[in-house]
Amino acid sequence: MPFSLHYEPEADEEQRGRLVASGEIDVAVADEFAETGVAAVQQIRIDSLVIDLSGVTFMDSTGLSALVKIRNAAVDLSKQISLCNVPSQVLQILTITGLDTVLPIVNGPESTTAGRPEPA
Amino acid sequence: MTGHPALDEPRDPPAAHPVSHTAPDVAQTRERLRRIEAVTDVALSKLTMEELLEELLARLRELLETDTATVLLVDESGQFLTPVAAQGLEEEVRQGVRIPMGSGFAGLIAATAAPAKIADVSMSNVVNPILIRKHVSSMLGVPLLDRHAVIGVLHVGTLHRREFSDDDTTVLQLAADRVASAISTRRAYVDAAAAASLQRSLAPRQLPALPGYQFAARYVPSSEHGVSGDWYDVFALPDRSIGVVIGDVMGHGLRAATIMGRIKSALRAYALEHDDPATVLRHLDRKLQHFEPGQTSTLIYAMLDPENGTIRFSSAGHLPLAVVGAGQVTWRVQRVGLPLGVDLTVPRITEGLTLESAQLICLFTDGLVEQRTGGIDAGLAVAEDALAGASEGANPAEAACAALMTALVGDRQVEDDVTILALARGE
Repeated sequence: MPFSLHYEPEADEEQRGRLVASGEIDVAVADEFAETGVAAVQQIRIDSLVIDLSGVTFMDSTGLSALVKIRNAAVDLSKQISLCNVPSQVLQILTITGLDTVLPIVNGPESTTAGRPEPA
Repeated sequence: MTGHPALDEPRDPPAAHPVSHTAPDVAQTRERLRRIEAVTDVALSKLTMEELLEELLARLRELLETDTATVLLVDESGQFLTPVAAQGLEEEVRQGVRIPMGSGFAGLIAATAAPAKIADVSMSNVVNPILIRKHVSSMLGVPLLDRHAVIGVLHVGTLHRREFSDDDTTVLQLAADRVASAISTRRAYVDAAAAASLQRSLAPRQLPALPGYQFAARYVPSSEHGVSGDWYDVFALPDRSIGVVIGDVMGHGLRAATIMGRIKSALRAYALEHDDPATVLRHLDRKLQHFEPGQTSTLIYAMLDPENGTIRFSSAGHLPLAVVGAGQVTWRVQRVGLPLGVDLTVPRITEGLTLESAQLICLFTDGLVEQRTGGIDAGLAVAEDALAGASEGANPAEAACAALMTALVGDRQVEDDVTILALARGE
């Protein structure tokens, strides 16, 4: 399945933006993914960004790197970021790399438990 | 100089003009474009980049009947355009002219990523004095695009006044697309060759001979991207312990290989100063985040005491290491630390294990176990079976590498780098 990225620019009443990615996130598209995500968290009316990965069929280390860039941009701006609908393949690599500890994962698309990771 | 600056000329050429210019016949244009294309394909492997561009520009100048043709490329800083090849304006290249992005004719084309033309060149619409001195009167330029990024500008000029037509712009843009593609291919080729060469220079020339232990390693670069950032290292420390590292820099090509080299030498330097692997990784992480912001990398750094087989190690987001003995495989790394380049506030820990006689440890990168379908857990399960069934013969480290390669690579072309490092303790 080809990669596609859809940003819903209208924040809801809680100033949450939503980025929906699907397909294969690899070296070919990781930069686009990172740039779109960083641009989204930089939007002034966005307090938190939810990245919906429900349609992602594959993610490699460059995709993880893109998630880190988006996460770090959010932390720099004191904004919140979370992942939702994370497929098992992606969950596996998030767990193996320990990134699940700094990228909060929420299940339902409507969940509001998104939060910044606590510095340990 | 006469006339007014007019970067955004009306699209339609004037009906009557002192120096009329008829658009080239379409069939003829196509034929000539084919000649440009042929050069990019055939000559690519034989000519240097400069020779290739000179050849392309000579053909383009003939095709569009212009007096000058110039290729400028955006430099490393992204702030300036530098002429790299020119016909009719060779001085530009020889004098190392630098045009700021956004200024002058070429600078505006690069900044807007759109074609532009000037009928009457003057000091008010160009920044390069060579154009004035050479009496260039009219110019047409287009951006060189690699996917959507502007990598440079291609422009042509005439000494007589000329209103370039929309057809001219179309032809020039088609030629520019071929030039951009030739440059990108060439750069990719040069980068890949340099990255492969750098990668070779980074790999240990030979794995150390350590009485009572055996090392074995495999490295297969990505078939798609050339070097993809995998590396390993084995070195002796002053207290006679042995440092063992496997890492994967995210990214590929020359940039990944360069970062890999920096991480490798920095890790060795910190390893000399600190005997706790987690401390070494913390310093390394800080250095990486300061000097290469945005770059991430996973690695495991392990220190072996050959006297008693104890291994202390710390993992930065890397795959677990396998301890293998008597057909049993145990995955180690209870608490994985974050990859380098993520967050300095999260602490790192050092774990320990003892490598007993007739056991081995095996470290590898995700290229071995990651597959488009099935996920990494499935790949790890295959690796576990392969390691459990590996022969224990005379050289168990070699046997472990061979078993993993057979089970997980077989005859497929690897999409990502595959690296394995095995260390066996003798009976």
